[in-house]
Amino acid sequence: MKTHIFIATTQGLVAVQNITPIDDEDISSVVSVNGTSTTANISGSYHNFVKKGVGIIHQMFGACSYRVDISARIDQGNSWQVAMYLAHLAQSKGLLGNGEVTQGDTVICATGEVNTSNLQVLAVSEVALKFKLAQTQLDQWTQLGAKVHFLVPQANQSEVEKNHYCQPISDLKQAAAVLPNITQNQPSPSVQSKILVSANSRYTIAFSVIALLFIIFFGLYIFTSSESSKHQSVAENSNISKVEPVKKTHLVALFKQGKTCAQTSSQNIELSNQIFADLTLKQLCGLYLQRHKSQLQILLVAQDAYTVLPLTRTPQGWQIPLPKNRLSNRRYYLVSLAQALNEEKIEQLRLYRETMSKPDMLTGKAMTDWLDTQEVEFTIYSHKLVVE
Amino acid sequence: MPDHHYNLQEQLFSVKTLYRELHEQLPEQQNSAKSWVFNDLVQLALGNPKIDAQQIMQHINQSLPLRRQYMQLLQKLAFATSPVQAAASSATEISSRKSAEFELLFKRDKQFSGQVYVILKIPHSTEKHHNQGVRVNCCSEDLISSIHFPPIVDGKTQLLMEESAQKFIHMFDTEFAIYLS
Repeated sequence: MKTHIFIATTQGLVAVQNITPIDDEDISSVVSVNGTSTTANISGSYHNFVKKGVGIIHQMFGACSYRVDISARIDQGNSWQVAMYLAHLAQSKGLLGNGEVTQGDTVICATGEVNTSNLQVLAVSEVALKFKLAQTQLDQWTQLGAKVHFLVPQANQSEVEKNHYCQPISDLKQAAAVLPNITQNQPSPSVQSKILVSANSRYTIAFSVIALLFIIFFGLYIFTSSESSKHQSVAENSNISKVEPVKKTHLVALFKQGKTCAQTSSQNIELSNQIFADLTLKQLCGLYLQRHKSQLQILLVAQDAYTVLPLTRTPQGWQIPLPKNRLSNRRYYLVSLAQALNEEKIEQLRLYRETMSKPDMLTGKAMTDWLDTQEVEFTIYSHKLVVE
Repeated sequence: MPDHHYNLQEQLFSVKTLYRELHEQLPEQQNSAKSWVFNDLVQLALGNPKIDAQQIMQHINQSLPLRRQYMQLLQKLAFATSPVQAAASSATEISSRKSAEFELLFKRDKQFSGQVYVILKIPHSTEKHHNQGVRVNCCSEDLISSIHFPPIVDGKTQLLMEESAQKFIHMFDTEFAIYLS
Protein backbone atom coordinates (compact mmCIF):
# COMPACT_ATOMS: atom_id res chain seq x y z
CA MET A 1 0.00 0.00 0.00
CA LYS A 2 1.91 3.02 -1.25
CA THR A 3 1.16 6.72 -1.26
CA HIS A 4 1.70 8.38 -4.61
CA ILE A 5 2.29 12.11 -4.68
CA PHE A 6 1.42 14.10 -7.79
CA ILE A 7 2.12 17.74 -8.52
CA ALA A 8 -0.84 19.39 -10.21
CA THR A 9 0.45 21.58 -13.05
CA THR A 10 -1.08 23.47 -15.95
CA GLN A 11 0.17 20.66 -18.21
CA GLY A 12 -1.42 17.87 -16.15
CA LEU A 13 -0.33 15.76 -13.20
CA VAL A 14 3.39 15.13 -12.65
CA ALA A 15 4.35 12.19 -10.41
CA VAL A 16 7.09 12.32 -7.81
CA GLN A 17 8.79 9.03 -8.63
CA ASN A 18 11.60 8.90 -6.15
CA ILE A 19 13.54 10.94 -3.59
CA THR A 20 17.16 10.15 -2.76
CA PRO A 21 19.15 12.00 -0.11
CA ILE A 22 22.48 13.16 -1.56
CA ASP A 23 23.61 14.83 1.66
CA ASP A 24 26.79 16.21 0.13
CA GLU A 25 27.60 19.85 0.73
CA ASP A 26 29.22 20.13 -2.71
CA ILE A 27 26.16 18.90 -4.61
CA SER A 28 23.08 21.09 -4.88
CA SER A 29 19.62 19.54 -4.71
CA VAL A 30 18.33 18.59 -8.12
CA VAL A 31 15.02 17.68 -9.78
CA SER A 32 15.56 15.25 -12.62
CA VAL A 33 13.06 14.05 -15.22
CA ASN A 34 12.32 10.31 -15.33
CA GLY A 35 15.64 9.31 -13.78
CA THR A 36 17.62 10.81 -16.67
CA SER A 37 20.31 13.47 -16.54
CA THR A 38 17.77 16.00 -17.85
CA THR A 39 16.99 18.39 -15.03
CA ALA A 40 13.79 20.36 -14.58
CA ASN A 41 13.96 24.14 -14.62
CA ILE A 42 12.68 24.23 -11.05
CA SER A 43 15.92 22.59 -9.80
CA GLY A 44 17.30 25.91 -8.57
CA SER A 45 14.10 26.79 -6.71
CA TYR A 46 13.92 23.28 -5.25
CA HIS A 47 17.52 23.67 -4.02
CA ASN A 48 16.41 26.79 -2.15
CA PHE A 49 13.32 24.97 -0.82
CA VAL A 50 15.70 22.39 0.71
CA LYS A 51 18.45 24.77 1.86
CA LYS A 52 18.57 25.53 5.55
CA GLY A 53 17.80 29.12 6.40
CA VAL A 54 15.81 29.66 3.21
CA GLY A 55 13.86 26.43 2.79
CA ILE A 56 12.40 23.83 5.13
CA ILE A 57 13.35 20.37 3.84
CA HIS A 58 16.90 20.17 5.25
CA GLN A 59 15.68 21.30 8.63
CA MET A 60 12.76 18.87 8.66
CA PHE A 61 14.22 15.77 7.04
CA GLY A 62 17.93 15.97 7.83
CA ALA A 63 19.94 15.78 4.58
CA CYS A 64 21.44 18.95 3.13
CA SER A 65 20.65 17.98 -0.49
CA TYR A 66 18.31 15.62 -2.33
CA ARG A 67 17.67 14.28 -5.81
CA VAL A 68 14.00 14.09 -6.78
CA ASP A 69 12.86 12.23 -9.89
CA ILE A 70 9.65 13.45 -11.45
CA SER A 71 7.69 12.10 -14.42
CA ALA A 72 7.66 15.24 -16.59
CA ARG A 73 9.25 18.67 -16.81
CA ILE A 74 8.09 21.50 -14.59
CA ASP A 75 9.46 24.75 -15.88
CA GLN A 76 8.33 27.52 -13.59
CA GLY A 77 6.39 28.63 -10.53
CA ASN A 78 6.40 27.45 -6.92
CA SER A 79 3.08 25.60 -6.75
CA TRP A 80 4.99 22.29 -6.57
CA GLN A 81 6.11 23.06 -3.00
CA VAL A 82 3.22 21.51 -1.03
CA ALA A 83 3.41 18.29 -3.07
CA MET A 84 7.18 18.17 -2.69
CA TYR A 85 6.89 18.57 1.08
CA LEU A 86 4.34 15.73 1.19
CA ALA A 87 6.60 13.55 -0.95
CA HIS A 88 9.46 14.07 1.52
CA LEU A 89 7.15 13.28 4.42
CA ALA A 90 5.92 10.10 2.68
CA GLN A 91 9.51 9.15 1.87
CA SER A 92 10.57 9.57 5.50
CA LYS A 93 7.78 7.17 6.52
CA GLY A 94 8.65 4.65 3.82
CA LEU A 95 5.31 5.23 2.08
CA LEU A 96 6.27 7.03 -1.12
CA GLY A 97 5.20 5.25 -4.29
CA ASN A 98 6.60 5.75 -7.78
CA GLY A 99 3.47 7.13 -9.45
CA GLU A 100 2.22 3.77 -10.73
CA VAL A 101 -1.02 3.47 -8.81
CA THR A 102 -2.49 0.08 -7.89
CA GLN A 103 -5.57 -0.98 -5.97
CA GLY A 104 -5.60 0.10 -2.34
CA ASP A 105 -2.95 2.80 -2.81
CA THR A 106 -3.41 6.39 -1.73
CA VAL A 107 -3.04 9.18 -4.27
CA ILE A 108 -2.42 12.75 -3.18
CA CYS A 109 -2.39 15.45 -5.83
CA ALA A 110 -1.49 18.89 -4.57
CA THR A 111 -0.90 22.43 -5.66
CA GLY A 112 0.22 25.26 -3.42
CA GLU A 113 3.17 27.38 -2.45
CA VAL A 114 4.64 27.30 1.05
CA ASN A 115 5.52 30.26 3.21
CA THR A 116 8.72 28.80 4.64
CA SER A 117 8.62 31.07 7.70
CA ASN A 118 5.22 30.14 9.11
CA LEU A 119 4.46 26.99 7.03
CA GLN A 120 1.21 28.46 5.72
CA VAL A 121 0.03 27.36 2.27
CA LEU A 122 -0.19 30.30 -0.13
CA ALA A 123 -2.62 30.76 -3.01
CA VAL A 124 -1.49 29.87 -6.54
CA SER A 125 -2.87 30.56 -10.00
CA GLU A 126 -4.77 28.35 -12.49
CA VAL A 127 -6.15 25.95 -9.85
CA ALA A 128 -9.36 25.34 -11.83
CA LEU A 129 -7.36 24.40 -14.93
CA LYS A 130 -5.05 22.10 -12.94
CA PHE A 131 -8.03 20.28 -11.46
CA LYS A 132 -9.79 20.01 -14.82
CA LEU A 133 -6.70 18.47 -16.40
CA ALA A 134 -6.38 15.98 -13.54
CA GLN A 135 -10.04 14.97 -13.21
CA THR A 136 -10.13 12.08 -15.70
CA GLN A 137 -7.09 10.54 -14.06
CA LEU A 138 -8.57 11.00 -10.59
CA ASP A 139 -11.76 9.18 -11.69
CA GLN A 140 -9.73 6.31 -13.13
CA TRP A 141 -7.75 5.87 -9.92
CA THR A 142 -10.95 5.93 -7.87
CA GLN A 143 -12.42 3.21 -10.08
CA LEU A 144 -9.21 1.25 -9.61
CA GLY A 145 -9.79 1.28 -5.85
CA ALA A 146 -7.32 3.93 -4.76
CA LYS A 147 -8.03 6.66 -2.21
CA VAL A 148 -7.70 9.95 -4.05
CA HIS A 149 -7.20 13.44 -2.61
CA PHE A 150 -6.68 16.73 -4.42
CA LEU A 151 -5.28 19.39 -2.09
CA VAL A 152 -5.80 23.04 -2.93
CA PRO A 153 -4.85 26.16 -0.95
CA GLN A 154 -7.76 27.41 1.12
CA ALA A 155 -7.51 30.78 -0.63
CA ASN A 156 -8.19 29.03 -3.96
CA GLN A 157 -11.10 26.93 -2.71
CA SER A 158 -13.75 29.04 -4.43
CA GLU A 159 -12.12 28.55 -7.84
CA VAL A 160 -12.95 24.84 -7.93
CA GLU A 161 -16.49 23.45 -8.09
CA LYS A 162 -17.46 21.34 -5.09
CA ASN A 163 -16.42 17.73 -5.52
CA HIS A 164 -15.35 14.81 -3.34
CA TYR A 165 -11.65 15.02 -4.32
CA CYS A 166 -10.78 18.57 -3.35
CA GLN A 167 -9.64 19.37 0.16
CA PRO A 168 -8.69 22.92 1.12
CA ILE A 169 -5.53 23.29 3.21
CA SER A 170 -4.23 26.35 4.95
CA ASP A 171 -0.94 25.03 6.35
CA LEU A 172 1.45 22.10 6.09
CA LYS A 173 0.03 20.44 9.19
CA GLN A 174 -3.32 20.06 7.44
CA ALA A 175 -1.60 18.76 4.33
CA ALA A 176 0.37 16.19 6.36
CA ALA A 177 -2.84 14.95 8.00
CA VAL A 178 -3.98 13.59 4.62
CA LEU A 179 -1.06 11.17 4.53
CA PRO A 180 -2.14 7.71 5.73
CA ASN A 181 -0.94 6.56 9.10
CA ILE A 182 1.25 3.47 8.73
CA THR A 183 -0.78 1.52 11.25
CA GLN A 184 -3.93 2.23 9.22
CA ASN A 185 -2.43 0.40 6.25
CA GLN A 186 -2.77 -2.91 7.98
CA PRO A 187 -6.29 -4.38 7.88
CA SER A 188 -8.15 -3.44 11.02
CA PRO A 189 -9.81 -6.10 13.20
CA SER A 190 -13.25 -5.04 11.91
CA VAL A 191 -12.11 -5.59 8.32
CA GLN A 192 -10.73 -8.99 9.28
CA SER A 193 -13.98 -10.10 10.89
CA LYS A 194 -15.96 -8.95 7.81
CA ILE A 195 -13.73 -11.15 5.67
CA LEU A 196 -14.40 -14.09 7.93
CA VAL A 197 -18.21 -13.64 7.83
CA SER A 198 -18.30 -13.20 4.07
CA ALA A 199 -17.19 -16.84 3.68
CA ASN A 200 -20.86 -17.72 4.23
CA SER A 201 -20.22 -21.02 5.84
CA ARG A 202 -21.76 -22.34 9.02
CA TYR A 203 -18.48 -23.94 10.02
CA THR A 204 -16.63 -20.74 9.34
CA ILE A 205 -19.07 -18.76 11.49
CA ALA A 206 -18.81 -21.29 14.28
CA PHE A 207 -15.04 -21.19 14.06
CA SER A 208 -15.14 -17.39 14.05
CA VAL A 209 -17.22 -17.34 17.23
CA ILE A 210 -14.81 -19.72 18.95
CA ALA A 211 -11.85 -17.68 17.73
CA LEU A 212 -13.53 -14.48 18.92
CA LEU A 213 -14.18 -15.95 22.37
CA PHE A 214 -10.57 -17.09 22.52
CA ILE A 215 -9.35 -13.62 21.51
CA ILE A 216 -11.55 -11.97 24.16
CA PHE A 217 -10.31 -14.39 26.83
CA PHE A 218 -6.68 -14.01 25.76
CA GLY A 219 -7.08 -10.24 25.51
CA LEU A 220 -8.45 -10.03 29.05
CA TYR A 221 -5.56 -12.13 30.29
CA ILE A 222 -2.99 -9.89 28.58
CA PHE A 223 -4.76 -6.76 29.80
CA THR A 224 -4.75 -7.82 33.44
CA SER A 225 -1.14 -8.97 33.34
CA SER A 226 0.03 -5.82 31.51
CA GLU A 227 -1.79 -3.59 33.99
CA SER A 228 0.12 -5.18 36.84
CA SER A 229 3.43 -5.01 34.95
CA LYS A 230 2.71 -1.40 33.99
CA HIS A 231 2.58 -0.38 37.63
CA GLN A 232 5.75 -2.32 38.23
CA SER A 233 7.60 -0.78 35.27
CA VAL A 234 6.51 2.75 36.09
CA ALA A 235 7.93 2.22 39.54
CA GLU A 236 11.11 0.88 37.99
CA ASN A 237 11.16 3.87 35.65
CA SER A 238 11.30 6.31 38.44
CA ASN A 239 14.07 4.27 40.05
CA ILE A 240 16.10 4.06 36.87
CA SER A 241 15.69 7.65 35.83
CA LYS A 242 16.49 9.10 39.18
CA VAL A 243 18.39 6.61 41.35
CA GLU A 244 20.32 4.46 38.87
CA PRO A 245 24.06 5.18 39.07
CA VAL A 246 25.26 6.35 35.67
CA LYS A 247 28.88 7.04 36.44
CA LYS A 248 30.19 4.26 34.23
CA THR A 249 28.12 5.12 31.22
CA HIS A 250 30.28 7.04 28.78
CA LEU A 251 30.92 7.85 25.15
CA VAL A 252 34.04 6.59 23.41
CA ALA A 253 35.21 9.14 20.86
CA LEU A 254 37.81 8.25 18.23
CA PHE A 255 39.84 11.25 17.08
CA LYS A 256 42.03 11.62 13.98
CA GLN A 257 45.78 11.22 14.40
CA GLY A 258 46.92 13.28 11.43
CA LYS A 259 44.83 14.24 8.43
CA THR A 260 42.80 11.05 7.96
CA CYS A 261 41.04 8.52 10.15
CA ALA A 262 43.61 5.81 9.31
CA GLN A 263 45.09 6.27 12.78
CA THR A 264 42.96 7.31 15.72
CA SER A 265 43.21 7.92 19.42
CA SER A 266 40.28 7.22 21.72
CA GLN A 267 38.95 9.31 24.56
CA ASN A 268 36.19 8.60 27.08
CA ILE A 269 33.55 11.30 27.41
CA GLU A 270 32.00 11.10 30.85
CA LEU A 271 28.41 11.78 31.72
CA SER A 272 27.33 14.65 33.91
CA ASN A 273 23.65 15.25 34.74
CA GLN A 274 22.61 12.98 31.86
CA ILE A 275 24.56 15.19 29.43
CA PHE A 276 27.75 14.26 27.60
CA ALA A 277 30.28 17.03 27.00
CA ASP A 278 30.15 18.61 23.51
CA LEU A 279 32.48 17.23 20.84
CA THR A 280 33.92 18.91 17.77
CA LEU A 281 32.80 17.06 14.65
CA LYS A 282 35.81 17.99 12.53
CA GLN A 283 38.36 15.74 14.26
CA LEU A 284 35.93 12.93 15.04
CA CYS A 285 36.25 9.54 13.27
CA GLY A 286 33.90 7.42 15.37
CA LEU A 287 31.60 7.66 18.36
CA TYR A 288 30.23 4.86 20.55
CA LEU A 289 28.01 4.73 23.61
CA GLN A 290 29.08 2.32 26.30
CA ARG A 291 26.59 1.50 29.02
CA HIS A 292 27.61 -0.15 32.25
CA LYS A 293 24.36 -2.11 32.15
CA SER A 294 23.40 -4.15 29.12
CA GLN A 295 20.54 -2.59 27.23
CA LEU A 296 18.33 -4.06 24.54
CA GLN A 297 18.01 -0.97 22.42
CA ILE A 298 19.41 2.55 22.07
CA LEU A 299 17.53 5.10 19.99
CA LEU A 300 19.06 8.26 18.58
CA VAL A 301 16.45 11.01 18.46
CA ALA A 302 17.73 14.13 16.71
CA GLN A 303 16.73 17.51 18.06
CA ASP A 304 17.54 19.46 14.91
CA ALA A 305 15.73 17.08 12.51
CA TYR A 306 12.88 14.57 12.70
CA THR A 307 15.30 11.62 12.66
CA VAL A 308 14.64 8.65 14.97
CA LEU A 309 17.26 5.94 14.53
CA PRO A 310 17.87 2.65 16.38
CA LEU A 311 21.63 2.30 16.94
CA THR A 312 23.68 -0.74 15.98
CA ARG A 313 25.58 -2.63 18.63
CA THR A 314 29.26 -3.28 17.84
CA PRO A 315 32.08 -4.73 19.96
CA GLN A 316 33.13 -1.13 20.71
CA GLY A 317 29.66 -0.15 21.92
CA TRP A 318 26.50 1.31 20.40
CA GLN A 319 27.66 3.03 17.25
CA ILE A 320 26.48 6.62 16.83
CA PRO A 321 26.47 7.52 13.10
CA LEU A 322 28.33 10.76 12.44
CA PRO A 323 26.54 13.29 10.23
CA LYS A 324 28.38 14.14 7.01
CA ASN A 325 29.00 17.59 5.60
CA ARG A 326 27.25 19.40 8.40
CA LEU A 327 26.94 23.15 8.35
CA SER A 328 25.35 23.40 11.78
CA ASN A 329 25.61 21.64 15.12
CA ARG A 330 23.89 18.26 15.61
CA ARG A 331 21.97 17.99 18.88
CA TYR A 332 20.40 14.68 19.81
CA TYR A 333 19.07 12.47 22.57
CA LEU A 334 20.18 8.91 23.18
CA VAL A 335 17.34 6.88 24.65
CA SER A 336 18.52 3.74 26.41
CA LEU A 337 15.80 1.08 26.64
CA ALA A 338 15.69 -2.13 28.66
CA GLN A 339 13.00 -3.51 26.32
CA ALA A 340 13.28 -2.98 22.59
CA LEU A 341 10.52 -1.01 20.88
CA ASN A 342 9.21 -2.68 17.75
CA GLU A 343 9.07 -0.96 14.33
CA GLU A 344 5.49 0.16 14.90
CA LYS A 345 6.37 1.85 18.19
CA ILE A 346 9.40 3.54 16.64
CA GLU A 347 7.15 4.77 13.83
CA GLN A 348 4.75 6.12 16.44
CA LEU A 349 7.67 8.00 18.01
CA ARG A 350 8.50 9.47 14.57
CA LEU A 351 4.88 10.54 14.16
CA TYR A 352 4.95 12.06 17.63
CA ARG A 353 8.03 14.02 16.55
CA GLU A 354 6.33 15.19 13.38
CA THR A 355 3.38 16.63 15.28
CA MET A 356 5.85 19.28 16.45
CA SER A 357 5.86 22.06 13.88
CA LYS A 358 9.66 22.45 14.21
CA PRO A 359 12.12 19.68 15.12
CA ASP A 360 13.86 21.73 17.80
CA MET A 361 10.61 21.81 19.81
CA LEU A 362 11.60 18.41 21.20
CA THR A 363 12.63 18.73 24.84
CA GLY A 364 13.74 16.17 27.38
CA LYS A 365 10.35 16.47 29.05
CA ALA A 366 8.45 15.90 25.79
CA MET A 367 10.62 12.84 25.20
CA THR A 368 9.97 11.54 28.73
CA ASP A 369 6.22 12.15 28.37
CA TRP A 370 6.06 9.95 25.30
CA LEU A 371 8.26 7.20 26.74
CA ASP A 372 6.13 7.12 29.91
CA THR A 373 3.22 5.96 27.75
CA GLN A 374 5.22 3.01 26.37
CA GLU A 375 5.64 0.90 29.50
CA VAL A 376 9.39 0.56 29.07
CA GLU A 377 12.35 1.28 31.29
CA PHE A 378 14.35 4.09 29.83
CA THR A 379 17.13 6.59 30.43
CA ILE A 380 17.70 9.68 28.33
CA TYR A 381 21.07 11.25 27.62
CA SER A 382 21.70 14.32 25.52
CA HIS A 383 24.70 15.31 23.45
CA LYS A 384 25.86 17.90 20.93
CA LEU A 385 28.30 17.58 18.01
CA VAL A 386 29.73 20.98 17.24
CA VAL A 387 30.67 22.30 13.79
CA GLU A 388 33.55 24.76 14.08
CA MET B 1 25.63 2.26 -81.98
CA PRO B 2 27.83 -0.38 -80.40
CA ASP B 3 26.77 -1.87 -77.08
CA HIS B 4 29.69 -0.47 -75.09
CA HIS B 5 28.60 3.10 -76.03
CA TYR B 6 25.22 2.50 -74.42
CA ASN B 7 26.97 1.27 -71.30
CA LEU B 8 29.20 4.35 -71.21
CA GLN B 9 26.22 6.66 -71.63
CA GLU B 10 24.40 4.91 -68.82
CA GLN B 11 27.41 5.22 -66.52
CA LEU B 12 27.83 8.92 -67.37
CA PHE B 13 24.15 9.54 -66.65
CA SER B 14 24.43 7.85 -63.24
CA VAL B 15 27.58 9.76 -62.33
CA LYS B 16 26.06 13.10 -63.32
CA THR B 17 22.92 12.39 -61.28
CA LEU B 18 24.98 11.51 -58.21
CA TYR B 19 27.17 14.59 -58.67
CA ARG B 20 24.07 16.81 -58.82
CA GLU B 21 22.64 15.23 -55.69
CA LEU B 22 25.85 15.75 -53.80
CA HIS B 23 26.31 19.38 -54.76
CA GLU B 24 22.77 20.69 -54.78
CA GLN B 25 21.39 21.52 -51.33
CA LEU B 26 18.05 20.02 -50.38
CA PRO B 27 15.26 22.53 -49.53
CA GLU B 28 15.39 21.71 -45.78
CA GLN B 29 19.18 22.17 -45.78
CA GLN B 30 18.75 25.56 -47.44
CA ASN B 31 16.33 26.60 -44.67
CA SER B 32 18.55 25.41 -41.83
CA ALA B 33 21.71 27.05 -43.16
CA LYS B 34 21.64 30.23 -41.13
CA SER B 35 24.08 33.00 -41.77
CA TRP B 36 26.33 34.11 -38.96
CA VAL B 37 28.86 36.87 -38.44
CA PHE B 38 32.17 37.26 -36.59
CA ASN B 39 30.36 38.92 -33.70
CA ASP B 40 28.65 35.58 -33.01
CA LEU B 41 32.09 34.10 -32.34
CA VAL B 42 32.89 37.00 -30.02
CA GLN B 43 29.59 36.62 -28.17
CA LEU B 44 30.15 32.87 -27.78
CA ALA B 45 33.65 33.48 -26.42
CA LEU B 46 32.15 35.99 -23.98
CA GLY B 47 29.66 33.35 -22.77
CA ASN B 48 26.48 34.99 -24.05
CA PRO B 49 23.78 32.34 -23.44
CA LYS B 50 21.51 33.75 -26.18
CA ILE B 51 23.83 32.62 -28.97
CA ASP B 52 23.00 29.37 -30.79
CA ALA B 53 26.15 27.69 -29.49
CA GLN B 54 25.47 24.30 -31.03
CA GLN B 55 25.32 25.60 -34.58
CA ILE B 56 28.33 27.89 -34.27
CA MET B 57 30.42 25.19 -32.59
CA GLN B 58 29.60 22.95 -35.53
CA HIS B 59 31.00 25.57 -37.93
CA ILE B 60 34.05 26.10 -35.72
CA ASN B 61 34.86 22.41 -35.61
CA GLN B 62 34.57 22.09 -39.39
CA SER B 63 36.97 24.92 -40.19
CA LEU B 64 40.59 25.22 -39.04
CA PRO B 65 40.79 29.05 -39.58
CA LEU B 66 37.59 29.53 -37.55
CA ARG B 67 38.92 27.31 -34.78
CA ARG B 68 42.13 29.39 -34.65
CA GLN B 69 40.13 32.62 -34.51
CA TYR B 70 37.89 31.27 -31.74
CA MET B 71 40.92 30.09 -29.75
CA GLN B 72 42.49 33.56 -30.05
CA LEU B 73 39.25 35.12 -28.84
CA LEU B 74 39.08 32.73 -25.87
CA GLN B 75 42.68 33.52 -24.93
CA LYS B 76 41.82 37.24 -24.91
CA LEU B 77 38.33 37.15 -23.41
CA ALA B 78 38.14 34.14 -21.07
CA PHE B 79 37.51 34.78 -17.38
CA ALA B 80 39.75 31.88 -16.30
CA THR B 81 41.80 29.13 -17.92
CA SER B 82 43.25 25.75 -17.07
CA PRO B 83 45.90 24.67 -19.59
CA VAL B 84 46.43 21.17 -20.97
CA GLN B 85 47.41 19.11 -17.95
CA ALA B 86 50.86 17.61 -17.63
CA ALA B 87 49.82 14.14 -16.54
CA ALA B 88 52.24 12.31 -14.27
CA SER B 89 50.87 8.96 -15.34
CA SER B 90 49.65 7.53 -18.62
CA ALA B 91 46.00 8.06 -17.64
CA THR B 92 44.37 10.89 -19.57
CA GLU B 93 41.36 11.28 -17.27
CA ILE B 94 41.43 13.30 -14.07
CA SER B 95 38.82 13.80 -11.37
CA SER B 96 39.11 17.57 -10.97
CA ARG B 97 40.48 20.70 -12.63
CA LYS B 98 41.75 23.48 -10.42
CA SER B 99 43.05 26.94 -11.08
CA ALA B 100 43.35 30.08 -8.97
CA GLU B 101 39.92 31.22 -10.20
CA PHE B 102 37.85 28.04 -10.30
CA GLU B 103 37.54 24.37 -9.45
CA LEU B 104 35.77 21.84 -11.63
CA LEU B 105 35.00 18.46 -10.09
CA PHE B 106 32.56 15.61 -10.52
CA LYS B 107 30.78 13.27 -8.14
CA ARG B 108 28.96 10.13 -9.15
CA ASP B 109 25.23 9.78 -8.44
CA LYS B 110 24.60 7.12 -5.77
CA GLN B 111 21.53 5.71 -7.45
CA PHE B 112 22.31 6.03 -11.15
CA SER B 113 26.00 5.15 -11.42
CA GLY B 114 26.16 6.27 -15.07
CA GLN B 115 25.28 9.82 -14.09
CA VAL B 116 27.63 12.39 -12.57
CA TYR B 117 27.22 15.75 -10.91
CA VAL B 118 29.70 18.17 -12.46
CA ILE B 119 30.30 20.96 -9.99
CA LEU B 120 31.94 24.23 -10.94
CA LYS B 121 33.10 26.40 -8.04
CA ILE B 122 34.05 30.01 -8.68
CA PRO B 123 34.78 31.69 -5.35
CA HIS B 124 35.09 35.19 -6.82
CA SER B 125 32.58 35.14 -9.62
CA THR B 126 31.46 38.20 -11.55
CA GLU B 127 27.96 39.65 -11.75
CA LYS B 128 27.64 38.15 -15.24
CA HIS B 129 28.07 34.65 -13.79
CA HIS B 130 25.24 35.26 -11.33
CA ASN B 131 22.89 36.45 -14.05
CA GLN B 132 23.63 34.46 -17.17
CA GLY B 133 25.71 31.49 -16.00
CA VAL B 134 29.11 30.26 -17.10
CA ARG B 135 30.31 28.82 -20.41
CA VAL B 136 33.02 26.18 -20.21
CA ASN B 137 35.05 25.69 -23.42
CA CYS B 138 37.18 22.55 -23.69
CA CYS B 139 39.84 22.91 -26.37
CA SER B 140 42.20 20.38 -27.91
CA GLU B 141 44.19 20.69 -31.13
CA ASP B 142 41.47 19.06 -33.19
CA LEU B 143 38.26 19.81 -31.35
CA ILE B 144 36.53 22.42 -29.25
CA SER B 145 33.46 21.58 -27.18
CA SER B 146 31.41 24.08 -25.23
CA ILE B 147 28.90 23.68 -22.44
CA HIS B 148 26.77 26.18 -20.55
CA PHE B 149 26.35 26.01 -16.76
CA PRO B 150 23.42 27.67 -14.93
CA PRO B 151 23.99 30.91 -12.98
CA ILE B 152 26.34 30.75 -10.00
CA VAL B 153 24.64 30.53 -6.59
CA ASP B 154 26.64 30.48 -3.35
CA GLY B 155 29.88 30.38 -5.36
CA LYS B 156 29.01 27.27 -7.37
CA THR B 157 26.92 25.85 -10.16
CA GLN B 158 26.34 22.29 -11.31
CA LEU B 159 25.13 20.07 -14.12
CA LEU B 160 23.87 16.50 -14.01
CA MET B 161 25.45 14.65 -16.94
CA GLU B 162 25.76 11.18 -18.41
CA GLU B 163 29.22 9.78 -17.78
CA SER B 164 29.42 8.75 -21.44
CA ALA B 165 28.66 12.26 -22.75
CA GLN B 166 31.55 13.60 -24.86
CA LYS B 167 31.31 17.04 -23.26
CA PHE B 168 31.77 15.51 -19.81
CA ILE B 169 34.74 13.42 -21.03
CA HIS B 170 36.42 16.48 -22.55
CA MET B 171 36.16 18.48 -19.29
CA PHE B 172 38.23 15.89 -17.42
CA ASP B 173 40.60 14.95 -20.23
CA THR B 174 44.19 16.12 -19.65
CA GLU B 175 44.57 16.74 -23.39
CA PHE B 176 41.95 19.50 -23.29
CA ALA B 177 42.57 23.04 -22.04
CA ILE B 178 39.66 24.75 -20.28
CA TYR B 179 38.50 28.32 -20.86
CA LEU B 180 35.74 29.79 -18.71
CA SER B 181 33.73 32.75 -19.86
